[in-house]
Amino acid sequence: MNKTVPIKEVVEQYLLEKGQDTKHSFPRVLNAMVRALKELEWDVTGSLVYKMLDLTSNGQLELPTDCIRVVDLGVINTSGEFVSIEYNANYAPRRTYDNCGNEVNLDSGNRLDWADGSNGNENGGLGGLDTNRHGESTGRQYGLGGHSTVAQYGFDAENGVINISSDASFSRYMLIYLSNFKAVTGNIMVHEFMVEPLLAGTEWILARRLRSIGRGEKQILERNFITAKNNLSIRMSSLSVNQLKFLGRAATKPAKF
Amino acid sequence: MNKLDLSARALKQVSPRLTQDTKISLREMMYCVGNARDQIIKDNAWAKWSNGLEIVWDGMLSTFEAVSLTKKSECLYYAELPSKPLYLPKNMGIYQVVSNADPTNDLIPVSSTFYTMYKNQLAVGLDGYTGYYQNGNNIYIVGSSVTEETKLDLTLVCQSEDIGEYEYFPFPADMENEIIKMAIEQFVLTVQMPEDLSDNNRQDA
Repeated sequence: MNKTVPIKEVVEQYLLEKGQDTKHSFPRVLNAMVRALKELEWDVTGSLVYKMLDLTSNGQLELPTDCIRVVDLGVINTSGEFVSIEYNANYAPRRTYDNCGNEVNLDSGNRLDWADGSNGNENGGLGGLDTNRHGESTGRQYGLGGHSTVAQYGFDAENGVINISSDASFSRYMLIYLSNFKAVTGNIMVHEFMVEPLLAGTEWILARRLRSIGRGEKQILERNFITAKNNLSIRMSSLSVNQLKFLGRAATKPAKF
Repeated sequence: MNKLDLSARALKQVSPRLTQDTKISLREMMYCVGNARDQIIKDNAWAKWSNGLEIVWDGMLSTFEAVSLTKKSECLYYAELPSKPLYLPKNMGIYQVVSNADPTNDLIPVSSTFYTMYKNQLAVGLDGYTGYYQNGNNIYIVGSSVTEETKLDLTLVCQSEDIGEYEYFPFPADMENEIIKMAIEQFVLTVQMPEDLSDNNRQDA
């Protein structure tokens, strides 16, 4: 799905539809259209970026600066397949700061001892895993997350890093994320399907801050943009007949006798 | 038609029996015709712009070819406007600026604050186009796509006073009567003032 239409062509299309013969409104329309483009990229047409990251000495991965949203994190196996590692919202940063703002490691002196996971009441019941409640097993028998996993990770949003669990043995990870779209050699390219939603989005964005336009009309314009965005989503994700057949096919078929 | 012809036509409507001995000056009428033309073009443009209507500019434009550029600093060039443009919506007084060598790609008009207001926006690059802004009597071009050897073709909606009396006088043909009518109204008010040949504090003709 190549993006082959320069955005300036869509801007000119917009100006022509408005009945303008010159480009006096070009900068303002272009700015609004870039805004609309971002909305489409984040929801519908954004391309995922696959990036290999090296583990730092702190056991962390540095988030790329163009990362808007992390989609997945994992490692590559010997078959070349991507294997996700588990996100653990409870995973705390392995590094913290002292009162002077200097980074210090969390060592055994300033963290709770981990229980072995088999009995949450060991070590006085503090710092242990809850594997049973009122005599009923609640799972989480093995490992921090309670099931087998190759590694776990958590976000440190303040510092823009990903913390990898200490039991992981990998030095390189693949991060899949949604990135800000890029201008290629100064030109922003869009997909053909995106032209109509961009025109609708530009119309709305140029109108939404104007006091001279009534609220009702602004809502109609916004609605038009959302409809166009939905139509774009349908177009971009439409499948061919063969693809649909393949999806409905079972992975293995039983032998017929 | 030039300004002189239109002025003569207007003058004839004031009084068909005007002769060369009258004290009425053709130059006064030319001034009134020029003002009338500017006023009508401006009123028409602003009214249509306010209502979101299409403005047809054909017939109001003057073209100046091969205007030279002067280097002001690194990546900043300017060209002096050969004529003062009318103040029109979206600064359309400067209707179009193209490079002499490539008339299919026109320069994008931006405001003088464009590069400060848009510097953190993706649109600052104008998607590869070159922009220009007006400052005083000059237009400034930012970017590396022009050099001192570049020549520009400018299309302007000029002020009437910058158009010579024998030059082509651009005005919408369907507005000729309106221009003459407004010019006569201004002219009649002007010539009611008695002509005073010497400034000696006495009423003498």
